[in-house]
Amino acid sequence: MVILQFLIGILIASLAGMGVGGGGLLVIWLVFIANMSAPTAQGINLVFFIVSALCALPLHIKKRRLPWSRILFYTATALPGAWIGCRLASVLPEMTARRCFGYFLLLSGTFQLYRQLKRNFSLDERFKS
Amino acid sequence: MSAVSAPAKSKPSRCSVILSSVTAFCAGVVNGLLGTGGGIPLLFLLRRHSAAQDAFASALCCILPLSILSAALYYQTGSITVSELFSSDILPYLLGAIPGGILGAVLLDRLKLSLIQYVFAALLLFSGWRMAFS
Repeated sequence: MVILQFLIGILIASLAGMGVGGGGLLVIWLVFIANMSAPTAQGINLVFFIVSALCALPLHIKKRRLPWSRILFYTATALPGAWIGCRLASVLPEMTARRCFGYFLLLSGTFQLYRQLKRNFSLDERFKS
Repeated sequence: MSAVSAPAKSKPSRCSVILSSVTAFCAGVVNGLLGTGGGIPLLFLLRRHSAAQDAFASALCCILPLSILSAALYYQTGSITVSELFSSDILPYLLGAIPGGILGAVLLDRLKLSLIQYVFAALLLFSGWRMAFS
């Protein structure tokens, strides 16, 4: 079981390290398989993300051109939002938080799939013409 | 550098700055409320100005401070404890996050980007369906 947990950690962290995010996969795993409450699973997911991001970040900084001014601007704007979100998480009923999260993932997945299909379709059209 | 070329730079309009600020703020709320997912709206913002791989890496940079703040607040409200994180149930996941994070940073340049994005979309849809309707 410990080896399985370790391998799942590697798999999900590699998605997080790529920057595509784990999509809350660890939250799903901890809630449905390990029977944890949603707020605890979300807290653990945050710590898990921090560890994987801290390991991936030095490589990204070394290899890429990152727009630091934009990163600082978006982070500074998002920080008050994160504070409000955390406060909301502690007062919302667990089922509501879980449903909100589910709908959010469905919406994101649909948008992601649509964008990717559209991009592939337009590339195919370009090759045909 | 990245395989996909970045769009040309232009001076942002006031409307674009306001829209970006609102989106980034909402990304913070989502990340704090759900413990994940804040990177998705930020990624869409960053993708407008950067190559795909650079945008993924930038989203990671943006989300890290948000996650640190959110984790601190989750700790403060008692949703997570230090002893829980170091328990035998959780520690293997956290240890797996160390090689996994490095592997992800290396794989970003080596895997086909469209494949990553299709897999990611499928995972989002499956996870969302389980969470919303189970």
